[in-house]
Amino acid sequence: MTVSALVVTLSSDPAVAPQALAALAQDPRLQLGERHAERIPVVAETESPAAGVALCEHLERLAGVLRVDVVAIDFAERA
Amino acid sequence: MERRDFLKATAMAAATAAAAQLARGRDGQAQPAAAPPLGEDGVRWDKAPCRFCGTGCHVQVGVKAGKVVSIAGDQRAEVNQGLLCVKGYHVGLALYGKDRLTQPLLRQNGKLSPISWERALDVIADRALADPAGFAIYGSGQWTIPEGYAAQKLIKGGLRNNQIDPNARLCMASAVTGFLSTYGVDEPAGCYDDLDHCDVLLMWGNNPAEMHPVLFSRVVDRKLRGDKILLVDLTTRRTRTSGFCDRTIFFSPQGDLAIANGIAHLLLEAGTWDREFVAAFCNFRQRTDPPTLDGKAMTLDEYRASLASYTPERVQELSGVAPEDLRFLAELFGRRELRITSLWCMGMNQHTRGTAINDLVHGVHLLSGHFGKPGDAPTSLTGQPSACGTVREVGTLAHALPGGLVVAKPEHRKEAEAIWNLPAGSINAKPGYHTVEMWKRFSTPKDQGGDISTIWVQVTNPARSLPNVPALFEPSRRLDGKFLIVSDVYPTATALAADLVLPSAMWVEKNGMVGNSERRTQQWFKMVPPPGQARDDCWQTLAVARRLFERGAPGLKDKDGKFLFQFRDAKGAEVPAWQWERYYDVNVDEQLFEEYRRFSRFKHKDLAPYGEYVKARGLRWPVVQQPDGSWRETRFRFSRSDDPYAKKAEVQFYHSVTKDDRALIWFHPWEAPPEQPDAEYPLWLCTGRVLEHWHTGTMTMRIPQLRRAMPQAYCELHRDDARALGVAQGEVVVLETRRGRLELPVWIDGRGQPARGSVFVPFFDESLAINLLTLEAHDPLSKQPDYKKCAARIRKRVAP
Repeated sequence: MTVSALVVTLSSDPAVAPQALAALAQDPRLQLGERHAERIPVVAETESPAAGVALCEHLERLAGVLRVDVVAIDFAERA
Repeated sequence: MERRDFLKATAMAAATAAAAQLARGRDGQAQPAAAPPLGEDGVRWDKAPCRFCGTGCHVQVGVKAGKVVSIAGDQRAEVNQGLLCVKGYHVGLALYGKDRLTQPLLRQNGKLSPISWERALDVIADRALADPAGFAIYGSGQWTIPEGYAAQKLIKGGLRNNQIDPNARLCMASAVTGFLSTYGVDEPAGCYDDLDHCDVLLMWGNNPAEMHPVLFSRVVDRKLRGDKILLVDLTTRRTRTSGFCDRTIFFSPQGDLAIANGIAHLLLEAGTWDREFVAAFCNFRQRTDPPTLDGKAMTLDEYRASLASYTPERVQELSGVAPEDLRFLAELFGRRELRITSLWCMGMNQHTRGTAINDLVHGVHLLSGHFGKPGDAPTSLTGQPSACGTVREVGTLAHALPGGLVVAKPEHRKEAEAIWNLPAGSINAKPGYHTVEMWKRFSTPKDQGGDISTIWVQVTNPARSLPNVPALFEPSRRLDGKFLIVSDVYPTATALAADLVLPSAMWVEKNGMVGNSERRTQQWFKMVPPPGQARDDCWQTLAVARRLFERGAPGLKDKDGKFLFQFRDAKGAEVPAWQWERYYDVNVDEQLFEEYRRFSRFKHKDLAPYGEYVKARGLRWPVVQQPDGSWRETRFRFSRSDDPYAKKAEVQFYHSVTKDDRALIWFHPWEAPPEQPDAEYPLWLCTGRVLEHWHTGTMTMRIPQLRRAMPQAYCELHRDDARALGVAQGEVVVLETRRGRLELPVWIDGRGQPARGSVFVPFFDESLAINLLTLEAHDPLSKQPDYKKCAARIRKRVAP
C-alpha cells in the first residue's frame, strides 16, 4: 500500500464546492482532515504509487476541486 | 499502533500543516521544524534539494536499510514550504530504475564490455596525454558545485586548454549575457519573494505552470486567497499557464523583440517612463558590429529615434499582437504604483536574438522604473538544479573562471592562479569552444579542423539534447580518432554511443551542493550507497587528475610541485581522496567549496562557509557576515534596503558596465530569425518540456508512474491545420525539417494548443528525438541555439 499526504484546494464557489467535498468524503481511499478555508488536508491510501497518481488526477477533475498538491509520499514497498 | 496507522497519522499531520500554511498565505517564510512527515521506526530523515529543475524545492528524504523509501516536501524550506510537484515527490524513485549502470564499460570490437576502474582511468589518461589540446569536458547544470569546480580546475588549471562547456549553454546562456550587458554582472537582482509581492506577473514565453509548478502555485494561491494580482501570459502557444491567466496575448515567433520595443516606444510617447530613475541610474546603449556586451553609447534622443518606427501598427505586423494589447502592456509599465515582475526561461533564452530580447526586457523595466522593490523586477528562471550554482557561479563555461571571472582578462587569470597556487601565466587566455562549436569540431575530421579528439561527458545527454544531432553528434561516432567518454547513471542514448562508459552515483548517493534560480546555494549529505561500482563524478575527475599527475602531466602540479587537488584531515595530514576507498575519509565537497568560495568575493557573490549551508535550506548570495558573527543572505540585489553592497544610493549597480553605477538600457532592432516557414516547410516548429518529464527523460522515463502519465512524445497541432492536412487525432504523421524527420502521433487540443501554422514537440522522449530536426543557429553573443523556432512540414505517413 502507498500512503500519500495531499492538500485539496476547493473552489470558493458555493455552487460547486459542497459537491466536491461530498465526493471526497465518500471516497473510501481518502481520509479528510480539518478544513482550513478552501484547503482540506487529505491522506490517500492506494494500492501503488501509480494508483496514487491516478487518484490525484481523478480528484483534480472533480467539479469544485481547483488543485491537488502532494505533500508527501511513501513508497517503501516499491523502493 | 500498526505501521499503516502510524504512517497515516503522520501523513495527516504533514497535510494539515501544509493546508494551514496555504490557507494563511505563503509569505516566503519557512515553517518551524516539524515532525517527520511520514514517521516510521527505522526511517532516517534528512534534507536535500530536489534533483530536477532549477526551482530548488527542498525535500525530506526518508531512508531505511540503505534505500530511499519516502519523499516529502520540506516545510522548513522557503522555496516550496512543504509542497512538491509530480516529479518532486517521485524523485526518490529516480535512483531505482532497473538498468542502472554499475560498472565501467569499454567499447571493444564494437561492443561495450566491462573493465576495471583502474583500466578506465588509464584509458582516459592515455587520451588526455596523447592530445591534451583536444581533450574536452562537457558537463551540465546538473553537476553539483564541487563536481563542476573540480572539472573546471582540471581543465583550466591543469590541462590548460579551456575546453570545458556545459549543456547549460543550451538553456540559459542568453540570460547570462543579458544580465552582463545590462548590469555588468550575472544573475537576477530579485528572487522568488517577488512572486509574493508583485501586482502584475508578466510571463514572457514562459510556462511555469508546467515547468516550475511549485513556483507558479505561489501566485495561484494568492489569487485563490483574493489577492489582487494580474497574471499576463505572453506566448506563442496556449499552455497550462494560459489557463490561469487574466490575459493571454499571443505573438508570432521572434515577435517578442518587437513587443518589447513597442512597449518602450509607447512609454516614451506617452511620457510615462520614469525620468528620475533613468536620470539617476541608467545609460543608453546600442549594439556594435560585431556585437559586444559593452556596445556603443547612445543618447536618450537617439534611443527615442531608434524606437520611433515601433508603433503599435508596425509591432502588430512583426508580432501579430493587436495594438490594444500592446497599449495594455505599456500602460501597465507606465503605472508607477504597480509592482511588476517579469518572468522568463527558455522562450527568451533559446533564441538566436537571446541576448537582445533579454536586454530589451531589462530595458523596459529600467525605463519604467519597475526595478529595485520587492515584486518589481525582471527575473529569469533556470531549467536545471545548478545552472546558476555550478555553471554561472563556478564558471564551467569555455570563457569563464570561477566567481564571474574570465580567462581573457589578465587580472582575472592572476587571481585564479593565486588561489590555485599556479605559476604566473599558467592559465590560457584563449577561451575554449562553446558547446555548438565543441561538438561541431568533435564531429569533423581532424584534418578538416576537427581539433577536439576526446570529449568526456558528465551528467548530461547530448545525443538527445544538442540541436541538429545529425550534424553535431552523429558524425563523431563514425570518425576515426574521436573518443567519447560518458559518466552517467543510466544507459542513455549518449552512453550507448560512447567508447567508454563510467557508472556514476546520483543525488543522495553522494554529497552535493547546488545553486538555484534565485541565487540560493543548497547543500545535502550522502544518504544511501550507489549501486555496484558506481562512483561520484567528482571522484572520477579527481582520480583522472591524479592519474595524469602520476604520469607526469606538467599542468597537474602547482607551483610548489604538489598535486593540484589537496585534501587534509582535521590534523592537517594529506588524505588521498583520489583513492575511492579514501574518498569519504574527508568531506571533499566541503574542502573544494571552501577553496571555491574565495572566488566569490570578486563580483560580490559572497558565499558563507560550508557549515552555514548544512544548517540552512539554502542561502541567497551575497551572504555577508554580520557584526555578531551570523551570516545574512540577500534577497534584493542592488537595492540599498537589502543589499549590503549597495551603499551610495537607493539603487546602485555596483558592477556597472560603464563603471558609473548605472545599468544599461539597450536598443536592439527586430530581426528575422535565420529560418522561417516557406513554401517547402510551411510550419513553425517549437520544442520544450512537459510537466511529468525532465529534460531528455533519462530519469523520469524510468519512473513508472511518470512514464505511464506521459509515455511518449507527440506533435501538437492546431485543429484547423490538422483538418487541412487531413490528419486525425492520434494519427502518426511524418514531421520533417531540413535536418531530419520523425514519425509522431498528432495531439489536437491537448496539453497545449499551438497557433495555426505551428507545431510543438516535447524533447523528453529518447526514442522520438526531436533534436534530430532542430536548428543549431545560435545567438552571436551567448552562443545559445534556438530550439523554439525553425521551419517544418508535416505529411501523412504512407502505410508500409
